[in-house]
Amino acid sequence: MAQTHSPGEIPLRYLPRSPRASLVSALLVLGGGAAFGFALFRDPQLAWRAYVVNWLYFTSVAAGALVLYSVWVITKARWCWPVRRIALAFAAFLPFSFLLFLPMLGLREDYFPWIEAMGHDPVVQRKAAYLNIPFLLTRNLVGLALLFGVFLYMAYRSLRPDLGLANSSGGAGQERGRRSWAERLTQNWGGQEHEEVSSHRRLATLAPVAVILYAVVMSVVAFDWAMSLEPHWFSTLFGGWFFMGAFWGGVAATAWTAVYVKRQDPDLGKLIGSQQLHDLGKLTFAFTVFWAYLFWSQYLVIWYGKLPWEQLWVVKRSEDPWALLSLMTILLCFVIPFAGLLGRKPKMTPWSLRLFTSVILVGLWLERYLMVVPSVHDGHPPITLLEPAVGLLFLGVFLASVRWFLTTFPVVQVWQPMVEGELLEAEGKGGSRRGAAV
Amino acid sequence: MTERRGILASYDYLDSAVEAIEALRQAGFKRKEIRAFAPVPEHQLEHAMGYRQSPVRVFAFTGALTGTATGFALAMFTSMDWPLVTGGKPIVSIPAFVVIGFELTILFGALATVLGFFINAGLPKWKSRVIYDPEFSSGRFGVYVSASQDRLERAREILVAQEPAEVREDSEGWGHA
Amino acid sequence: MATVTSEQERGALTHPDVQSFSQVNRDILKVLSRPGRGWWALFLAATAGMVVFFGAWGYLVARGMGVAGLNNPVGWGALITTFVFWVGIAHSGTLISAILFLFRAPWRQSIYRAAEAMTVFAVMTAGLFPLIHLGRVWHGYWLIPYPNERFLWPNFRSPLLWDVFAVTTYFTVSAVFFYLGTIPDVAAARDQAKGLRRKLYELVSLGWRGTDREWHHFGKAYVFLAAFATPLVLSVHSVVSWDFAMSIVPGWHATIFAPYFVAGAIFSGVAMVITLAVPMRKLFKLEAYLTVRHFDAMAKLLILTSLIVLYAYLTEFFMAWYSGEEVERSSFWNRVFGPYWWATWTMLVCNGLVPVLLWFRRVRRSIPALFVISIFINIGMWFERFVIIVTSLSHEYIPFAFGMYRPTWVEMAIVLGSFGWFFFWFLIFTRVLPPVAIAELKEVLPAPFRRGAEKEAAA
Repeated sequence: MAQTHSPGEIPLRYLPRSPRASLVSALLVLGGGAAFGFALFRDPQLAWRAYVVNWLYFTSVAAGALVLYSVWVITKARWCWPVRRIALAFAAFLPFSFLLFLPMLGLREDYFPWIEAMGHDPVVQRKAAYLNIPFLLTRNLVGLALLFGVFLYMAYRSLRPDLGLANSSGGAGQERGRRSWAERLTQNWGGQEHEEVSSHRRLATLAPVAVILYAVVMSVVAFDWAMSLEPHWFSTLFGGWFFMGAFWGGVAATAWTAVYVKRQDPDLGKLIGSQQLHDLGKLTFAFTVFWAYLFWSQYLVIWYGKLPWEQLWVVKRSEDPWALLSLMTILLCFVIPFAGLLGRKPKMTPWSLRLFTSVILVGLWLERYLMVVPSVHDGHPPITLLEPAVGLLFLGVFLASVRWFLTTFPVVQVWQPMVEGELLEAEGKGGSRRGAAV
Repeated sequence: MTERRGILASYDYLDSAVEAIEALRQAGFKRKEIRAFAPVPEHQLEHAMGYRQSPVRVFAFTGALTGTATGFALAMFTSMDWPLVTGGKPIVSIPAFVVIGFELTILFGALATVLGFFINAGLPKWKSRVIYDPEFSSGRFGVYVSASQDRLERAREILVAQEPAEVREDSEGWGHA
Repeated sequence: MATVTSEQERGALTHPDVQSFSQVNRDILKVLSRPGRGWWALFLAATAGMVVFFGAWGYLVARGMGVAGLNNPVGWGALITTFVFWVGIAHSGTLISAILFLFRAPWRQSIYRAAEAMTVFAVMTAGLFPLIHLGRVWHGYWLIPYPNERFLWPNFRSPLLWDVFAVTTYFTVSAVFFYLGTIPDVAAARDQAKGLRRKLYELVSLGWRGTDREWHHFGKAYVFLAAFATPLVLSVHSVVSWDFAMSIVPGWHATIFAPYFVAGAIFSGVAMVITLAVPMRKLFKLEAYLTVRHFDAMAKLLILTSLIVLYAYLTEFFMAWYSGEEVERSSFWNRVFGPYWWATWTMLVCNGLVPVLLWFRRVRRSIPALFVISIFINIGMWFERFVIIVTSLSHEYIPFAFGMYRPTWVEMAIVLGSFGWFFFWFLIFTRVLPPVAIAELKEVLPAPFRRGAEKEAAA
């Protein structure tokens, strides 16, 4: 219905570097690291639980944003042109996520209760082909490396045409970091038009692959790092619930960052219009409803079935001492954002969009927390200050990497993927390459 | 009451109609005196007419809330009316009743929306068709003005300035619409 | 360098052969004039199917439910399978008309009217099956909560009653949505018709004139209806899936059922839209409106939904194994290698393997190929429901109570005859209402501008 207005000429804009933001990130990392060290010293089990929860959360959000980007590529969405790059910026966290994942590979009995149960529990013994350390390590390492690799390659492909432009027009300015990255990522430059066409093609081919990989890898992550902690329990929806929640986190984080960027720079503020905020708000709202739907689908089946081994997982979380946290999760993930973003105005108003996406991002953290911790912890106390404090370590790295991306590369993607008609023309020109996948 | 008469101009082009309406509005004609016809929903026309939010939203919202309340009330009261335990579930099983509440929310909300549309758009209306051109459902845009005799001449000037394909007089004004 | 086209230019790209607004009216309303021989042939075939349908149903009523193959342990068979099948078919219509509308997908305009009609008729067909399955169909009204003399109420804790509410709501809302969307087009048909037809169209169009006031509220109402229909479509097939998932039958009791059924429904529904659109396009010469691009977009939707369905199949198999529970494992082993292996493999091949062809651009853009693939998917999705319902019931907890079910000729006649009933209505629709949305199609075409006209005249 609504028209998509976009200017013919999009300026190369960067987020200004800010020593204060870097300082904040550094302090967060230091504080989080100290909290983790302190926790390791006092209660290593708690420390590692907190570490895994936070890794799951921040990886979810970053990978979710990249899936949002891939979906935009697949659907050839054009309304998102000023915020496309913002979703992509979360790719900067992925290498760190991988590094932060490596220490988790050392976790054994302290984290996975099935290792001990394997000795005496016949039901768990029947799962030995899946629940064993070598296979667990292999599938996680290979899966994450593949997924992150594809996402990072997509980011590279998407940046290339813009960086070439920055090189030729001197748009990168005097900033040394920007210039050197622009040069580094544009080796073997084949000319602007050629690069745009080839980037467009490769992105179009890779985006569906990335989405499929995402669904599979994130399901495995959910099974291994959350579901298997209750070794008798299983839910077919668990993987889907986990990765759709992650996708939602990516959408909310993109919306949040779009508002942030809009506030930082008045020129960028003009490019990211209320139309885009409205659409991001609508997406966030739709995912809120969808999250509730998935949550409900799982809950209702378990509630109605009343099978002992199946309801244990739910009962545990709906009784003391977890009940309060569960209730809060439902409030933060569904009730508050649903009521808040129902209308048209709150979706378009920057402060309210930021407020409700913040609520969602906090709620999602709690949701990930409750997926993991009640399975392996008796709940006294259900949560301490240490778990969020360990999160500061991740938050610091997360913010610093995303901000680095937005200060080093143009915030608004200048080259725009072609619409179909143009693509056909380009194909006609450059010889036919028919039969290529998607 | 002064006698009102009407004039109808049919345009081949959208911008002609939009500009005619804008000019009419500037010349002091009220929205009530102008009527636009179009084969498609056009934001530009609606914008020129100066529409704000449609009250249909109030209908939708009220209907939806009524539906939620009705659904839960129906399920709860009928269950308590003849309390019979089935499937080991409580008599008032909120998780089960959510489904009923949800379905009726949608049902009532949708029906109320349609009702709101009919009331606000003034449909159904099967009366005479004097101020209408069958081309309006095909490719033409129309602007109709109903005003007192003296102001109608001014309207005619404005309408003709946009080169209409056809201009028709209507001797009775609003009576027909 | 920044190549961005406006919505309008894009419309010109999706329908390159449509020149003007009035051409849309001419081309589409032409369909409503005298029917050709092809239409009559199809109509006769559909009527014959309908006769078979009602004949078999009448026989079932006269002789009793014993003529169906249902017995312990399989109490739900081909009839319930077909109920789920038709409800599923309905879903893509709402998806295309409501969800794609909210997402502003520019390719939906040409097909959504036909898809929406399909929704309404598919729900009409689906709704008959639980009634047929009742046996004593005249007791059907017992499903409705009304104050009767014994003050007995239906059991609101039963998923079967949820289904009554879900399907009735779905039928009502999709019929209303369909009707609302047709009002401006019926008015367009009225303006070209004469005599009795004109009077009828005038009655149905409610006297629509296309005034600013009408369009203004119409637009708002349409958005709200779309917003209501979107969660509704998710809920309906979820509730259908919960008819099964609420019980603890192995193979039914799975948390993934709701989204899995919804995706499957959309998958089968889009396939059915293609099955219907291909002959319709040919028969009524709508090539300029249903372009290869539309089929390409629908094929992509098929890829997406087939992947979700495949994900669900694999997750179910994996979880059955992972559960470590004997009954779960045995149930799924029985599906793939038990006596119903042929049904399961039909489902896996048609829904998982055949759609892989759609990854190739050349296949997506070949209308005959798409038509054939869509038929495979229709078959595969019927078998999916058959597999879920029948194999699970035939192989529950106790080996002593295992049993086989085979549909009888009466059931199969009803199942196949229901296509006659469905096509009967659909074919009448193509004669009576504009099968392509006239007004909405114009929204994606470039509007006539005086300023642009001079340029065109020069060319």
